[in-house]
Amino acid sequence: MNLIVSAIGQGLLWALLGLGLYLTFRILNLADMTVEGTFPLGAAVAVTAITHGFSPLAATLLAFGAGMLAGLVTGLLYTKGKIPFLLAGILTMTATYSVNLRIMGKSNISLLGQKTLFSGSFMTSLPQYFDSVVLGMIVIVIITLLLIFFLDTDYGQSFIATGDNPVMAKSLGIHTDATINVGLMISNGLVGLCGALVAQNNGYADVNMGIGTIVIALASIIIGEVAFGELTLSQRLVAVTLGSIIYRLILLAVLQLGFSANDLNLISSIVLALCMMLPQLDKLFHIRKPFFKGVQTND
Amino acid sequence: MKRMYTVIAILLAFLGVAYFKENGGIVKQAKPKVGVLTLMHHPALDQIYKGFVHGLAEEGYHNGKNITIDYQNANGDQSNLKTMANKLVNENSTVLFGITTPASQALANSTKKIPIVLGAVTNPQGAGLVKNNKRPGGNVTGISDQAPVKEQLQLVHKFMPHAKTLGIIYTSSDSSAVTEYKEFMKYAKQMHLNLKAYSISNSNDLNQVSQQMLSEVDAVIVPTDNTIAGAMQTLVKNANAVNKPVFPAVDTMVKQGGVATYSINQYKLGVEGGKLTADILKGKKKPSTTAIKYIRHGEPVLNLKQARKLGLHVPASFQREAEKYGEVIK
Amino acid sequence: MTEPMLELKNVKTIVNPGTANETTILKGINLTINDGDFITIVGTNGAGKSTLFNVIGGNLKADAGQIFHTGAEITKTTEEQRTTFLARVFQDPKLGTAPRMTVAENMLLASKRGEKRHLMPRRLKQRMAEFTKLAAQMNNGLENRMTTPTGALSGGQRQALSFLMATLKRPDILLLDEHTAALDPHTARNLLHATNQRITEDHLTALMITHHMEDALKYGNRLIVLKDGQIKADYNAAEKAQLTVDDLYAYFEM
Repeated sequence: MNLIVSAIGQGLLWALLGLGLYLTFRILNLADMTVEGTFPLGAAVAVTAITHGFSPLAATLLAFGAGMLAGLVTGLLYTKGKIPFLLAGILTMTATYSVNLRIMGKSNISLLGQKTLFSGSFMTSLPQYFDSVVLGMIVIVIITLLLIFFLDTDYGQSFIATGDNPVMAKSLGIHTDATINVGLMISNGLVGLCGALVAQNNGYADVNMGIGTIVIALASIIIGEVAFGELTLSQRLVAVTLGSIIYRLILLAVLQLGFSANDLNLISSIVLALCMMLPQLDKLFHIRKPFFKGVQTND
Repeated sequence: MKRMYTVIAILLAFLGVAYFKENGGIVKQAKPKVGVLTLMHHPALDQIYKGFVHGLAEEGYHNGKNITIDYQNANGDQSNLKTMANKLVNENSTVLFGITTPASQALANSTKKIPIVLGAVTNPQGAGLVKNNKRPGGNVTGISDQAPVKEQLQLVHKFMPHAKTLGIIYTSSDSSAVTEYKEFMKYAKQMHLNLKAYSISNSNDLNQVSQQMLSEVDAVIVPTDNTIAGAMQTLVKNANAVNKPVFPAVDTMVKQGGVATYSINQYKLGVEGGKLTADILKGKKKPSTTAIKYIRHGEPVLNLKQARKLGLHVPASFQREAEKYGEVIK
Repeated sequence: MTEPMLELKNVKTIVNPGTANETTILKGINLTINDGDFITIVGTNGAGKSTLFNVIGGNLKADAGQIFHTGAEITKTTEEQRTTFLARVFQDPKLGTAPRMTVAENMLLASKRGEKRHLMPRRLKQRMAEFTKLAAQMNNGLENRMTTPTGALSGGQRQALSFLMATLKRPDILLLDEHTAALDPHTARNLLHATNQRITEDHLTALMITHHMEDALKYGNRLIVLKDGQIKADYNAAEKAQLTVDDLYAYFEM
């Protein structure tokens, strides 16, 4: 059915959000709220650029850069300003709302009639919803491979160590502050990129697009972990994408069962809560064999 | 790990099958389906929908008898719009009706084939919904409602000729409201009226910003603004507390505690939309060649009760006009 | 020719400066450490032992005084900068290793202590044999757990690994902050034995804080007693050999 293809396509596009958050949430152990601001920021930058004549590709890359800036702001507030991390993220997120309005000039910009990454002749020739599937797959494969490579380098190892044991990392000469800033930049860059792709797929950017994105990102990560058990780090990155797709399929199933789209927030929360309670439920009811959560090696 | 590869294999296989099985043509239905999508509830939008249903009925289309109406309300959540629009499209709606600009955009993004009728969009071309307001060219057409800003401003001046400062409050994320606010500023300048602007980003800001505004102005103007319409009670309460009048652009908001306006009748807007939809269902009209219909004529609406409560002097000519051609709330 | 490996000149640290709670912890430490010294440090709680290590390590800035490393002043350098020549083992076994990374990965990280890390592939497999051999030297089965995340190891194994990591890349100065205190007696004895072996064989310069007077006397060529933020006594090897446990306890009366 068409709707399943659509869900897969959406799952692929939104997986970038999960990948970005994975870097900060799971590897660096930081709860980054900036994400809810970075996502619409990426959308705003991309859509404004496109309506001002930039090529869709340039606009999308600009969005990535804008995301990186937002991540850096949060990072500096935390490392240099010594503001507690959660608050630093919230501050940046709140500020980006006004920034987005400034960038777009109004609350909502439509892309109807504009060139986007989805408006090319190849994209429009595909069966319905396959455009998001194809573009999503290309982007996810490239980004996942890049992340796997990154984490396997010496720098990547110091990145993992920073999140795993910052005291030890510092005693080994790792500049944890700088590493955290870089991590936030890459992570939010990916989120901005996601915003740009989703906006082009939706056909518009809206200042309120960011609401609820943290939950969507968390859902991808958590569902990916719960569904697939023990995995190496590289495999976990793939699991995030699968988690994102499964999440969309769950929402689709819920809608087909007759629930209204208005119930989606409640359903998402319930699904996430159940997933996260699985270890506890397993202890009580012995449902499945226990699984190991976190970062594991590549060998 | 094996589980993961299995899942990937299943997804790829599914995509492969779906790719080669192009979706079949639009299923011909005995009972055409009319999909309605709106952003949220508030009296004006609800009136439009009511009018829409009656407009269809006047042309012989009754829900449940010879058509099915699927009404979807996003309840203020923009992310719901895409999901709901996709649903309406995938359930093979024959015609779609969009109430509010974001809802119409969501519909337009979901299908380039199914006809879409705009319920009340101030500037369809500006919103990217049509190529040209006279010759839309695609699958979208509809009704445009621009509040008669000039007449409204003149009315405010008639009610309060000695007012030093007027205030206008609008939601920065509402494109229709912003369009009208700019018009108001333009005419205020022309008429040498001192109009001060206040913007909110969401309904949470309304209480504080409106209180600030009311301490600095003599009267308040509200353009066609969905967010404020949904939170009108807050504004009215604050205005009543300091005994200052509110002049909203829309008749339903006057009923909620505003004083007076020249308003596009929201119900009649809906009726026009319903009639246009009926014409499309009958095959009489096609969106690409149907120009946007402009409703610019405002009817006078007077909330006499509220005016009396505030001790406001009502211009006699306006009251007569409202009693004859419009509506007076006693 | 040879400058002392580490020299502290009149180092002071002050807590809560300018407030009613202002306290001077280190009250002017003068300490010269020569290449190859293995110094055991004893003192009461609050004497300033950990503070001393923090000042040497760089995660605490001295409020007065100077610190020199082979003649070069390092008083204002950061903790990260000092890791090029300085290594530490903490008292808490959890602090020395990254729990979600494997034994081998931790060792790889330690091998690059103080170096700039680049975007180059980490090449762990190529060094696996070398790391396994080193791990076997600790004699507690680490060599069989090379691909186990350290969070799954026992406290003793983690601490042994921490020690191994601290000495993987030869440090000019090794700080051991009661590193066996959290272990059971048997494991502690093994680790101390391995510690002593490594330090003496490789002629490392090391400072070891300990609460066990017997160990303080048994190991090292020098003993320092820290009390009330000052060095109360500094015994060289010969003097140390004559000391008894009771002599040391006398310092802690009062």
